[in-house]
Amino acid sequence: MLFNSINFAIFLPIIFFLYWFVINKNLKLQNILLLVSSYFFYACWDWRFLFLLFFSTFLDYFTGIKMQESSNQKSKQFWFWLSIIINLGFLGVFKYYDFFAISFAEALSNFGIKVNPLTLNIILPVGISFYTFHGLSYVIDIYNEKIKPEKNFVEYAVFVSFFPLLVAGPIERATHLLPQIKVKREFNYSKVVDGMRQILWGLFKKIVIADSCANFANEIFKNQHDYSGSTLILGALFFSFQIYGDFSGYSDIALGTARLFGIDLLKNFAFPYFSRDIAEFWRRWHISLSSWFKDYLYVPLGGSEGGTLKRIRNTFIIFIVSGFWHGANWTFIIWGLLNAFYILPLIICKKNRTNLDIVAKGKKLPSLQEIFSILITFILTVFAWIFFRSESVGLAMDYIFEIFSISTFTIPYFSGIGTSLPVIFFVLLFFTIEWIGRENEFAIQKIGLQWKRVFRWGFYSFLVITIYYFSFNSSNQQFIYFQF
Amino acid sequence: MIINFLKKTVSFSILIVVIITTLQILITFRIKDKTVFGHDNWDTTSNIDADIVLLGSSRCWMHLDPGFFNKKFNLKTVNIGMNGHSKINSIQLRLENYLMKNKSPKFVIFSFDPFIEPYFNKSDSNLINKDKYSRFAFMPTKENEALVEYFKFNNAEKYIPLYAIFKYKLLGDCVTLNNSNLFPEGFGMNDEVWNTTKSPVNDELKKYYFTDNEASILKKQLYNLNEFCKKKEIKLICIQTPVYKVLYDKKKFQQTISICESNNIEVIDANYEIIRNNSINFYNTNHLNKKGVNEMNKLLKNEQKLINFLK
Repeated sequence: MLFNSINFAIFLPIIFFLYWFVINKNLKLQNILLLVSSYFFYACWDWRFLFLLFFSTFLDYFTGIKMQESSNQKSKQFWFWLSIIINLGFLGVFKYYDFFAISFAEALSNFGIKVNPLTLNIILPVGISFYTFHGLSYVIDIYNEKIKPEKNFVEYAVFVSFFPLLVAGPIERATHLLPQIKVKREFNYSKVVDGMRQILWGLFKKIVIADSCANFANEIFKNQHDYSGSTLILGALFFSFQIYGDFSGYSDIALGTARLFGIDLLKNFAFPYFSRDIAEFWRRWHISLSSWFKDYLYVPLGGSEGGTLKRIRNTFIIFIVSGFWHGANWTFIIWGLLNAFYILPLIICKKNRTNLDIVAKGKKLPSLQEIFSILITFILTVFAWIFFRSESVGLAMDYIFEIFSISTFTIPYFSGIGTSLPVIFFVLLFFTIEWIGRENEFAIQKIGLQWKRVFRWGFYSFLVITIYYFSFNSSNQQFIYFQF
Repeated sequence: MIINFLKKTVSFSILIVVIITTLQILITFRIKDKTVFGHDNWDTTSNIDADIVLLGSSRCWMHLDPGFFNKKFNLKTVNIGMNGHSKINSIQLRLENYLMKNKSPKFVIFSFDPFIEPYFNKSDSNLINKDKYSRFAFMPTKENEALVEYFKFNNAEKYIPLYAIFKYKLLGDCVTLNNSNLFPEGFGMNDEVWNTTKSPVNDELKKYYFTDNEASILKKQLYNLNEFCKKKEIKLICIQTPVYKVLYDKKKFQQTISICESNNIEVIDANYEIIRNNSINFYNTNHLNKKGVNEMNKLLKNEQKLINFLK
């Protein structure tokens, strides 16, 4: 069930109505409703993997309790590692086994040893990377005695499988989400309206921006050898808008949906394309994953302590793992590696925490220097996205070589270029609105709140009708991050 | 608080419905009595109380020039051929649609040849050019209902404002009406010469000829069409127009003549050898170009059967 589908448009109001109008006085029932609806939501993708979700949930719930009950460190460690190994084992088998088997066989063939790798060719259970990371953070936090294990299975299961975040995050922490699940939620008018606004903006990002740009990006990347360097640059730009609109749009819908039920999820995006350096970009892009890696990998590795060399090593590890988390392909690893190289000068010069606030805070426009920094960061990011989007490293290299060829100085042309003009208009409009609303949680959170209702509702109606129009115009792509 | 929320949600939803309905109404008015692509001439032909109605598939649409009949026989003529639709039920539905809006013509000239297909049940349909006709899908008028059903427009397309317009990407064309002059008078004559790279010379289209088994069904359905015309006091005549020589199958074209004759329907064989043997007259293997139509008309104007019929 996609967020941008008719099924979800029917499903959500039904759950909302039951939640606030039928069982609003009973927290237990509300949580059971959230759990049942989440499992139903997941089963709509593929009911066969429901058992995996349930097993993973039960495993972490059970091992969490066992860790606390352990009388000695050895027993605690046993339950901890059992959970970690099984969780990562599932992830490894479903997501990485084929990649390792093929890569190993290829490596052996370099030494003249021919091996036919045994591949599993199994479908990746949707959301496995996300709910596995939920569970891992819970188990690690218990092991480190940051939290106590949850005794109520329903509440814990809601934490893992709450449907807005189940298939593509944000990656939640038990310390943040579990307390919200445990307390009685009251209907809060402003929060619910805020949630609806965020869903509206998420749908705009996904349907109007991402799916429309996807049509052109797919065309150009698919037939990259037919196009000039200038067209390939356009293709990379379209993909950059697509992936931002797609993933941040998904996150906005997820956060907005959770707000409808009185729950706040972790912020996942904070206007990353307005970043002035790569370090800032990574503090604003997929925040829940970046902070997860920071807390559970970077810090345990020593973090920023221990000198520059150690920091560089840790940074490279984080980015390579982060790339690998996205998928079992060398393209993702190189994408991660490239970002690590981008950030390297900032670490060496100790300037990776220079830009902590949003750009041009309190001002209407950025300074020339800020514009320059934003542009440079954006260009670097777009360049890295070429690896992320390409099907193989070879194709990515071909793409880049063509960009650096003489053909870049020709007028871009691709099949369907005529239909890209309205899309470019909406992309410009989109970034203008994002700029105006950049100091808020999401761009339209406060836009129009001071206007007369007729103008405010006019603005929302414009968004709704544009979404309605583009929902037929675009190719209705799946959310990109569902494949991870 | 909850009531306030519900009130505002309902109010906003109503606002959206009002806006999209208003937009749908504005678009409907914009395209009323006009064509958007030329194919969608159901409205434009409804203003013409014709003496002759030209009926058939694309081979009627592209071959039979209303101007020729107007000029030669001094009879007001309209072409209501359905480009891409050769099932006899769609052809009859189009005639019924025309008759619901206009008084009965004196004559119907039906372009009947081996490409015409019988239908087997009421739900038989063909969705070619569905997008072009989707402008009629929303809240169809009584006259257009049967054709909207034939094109299988779903309930969302029929009852949700702008749904069909957006889905079939008609908005731009409806607003600009840039393509509205594509097929004036419902006659889509091709002004181009044959591009044999685009449309190769072969007899592939023979596979679309009705089969011998279908012939008897077609005969019955042609009989029904004739009876329908008789009830409306319309005289029906069939005509078969040229195909390029590679596609010509004497036996098959004779069979259509036999079907007409066995139903006591006059038939004109305009599949003239002199036209069908020369590729210069064609746009592709089964459609004439402008030159071919003019050549056919030169011969048709002396066709005694036609002259007698239209007297």
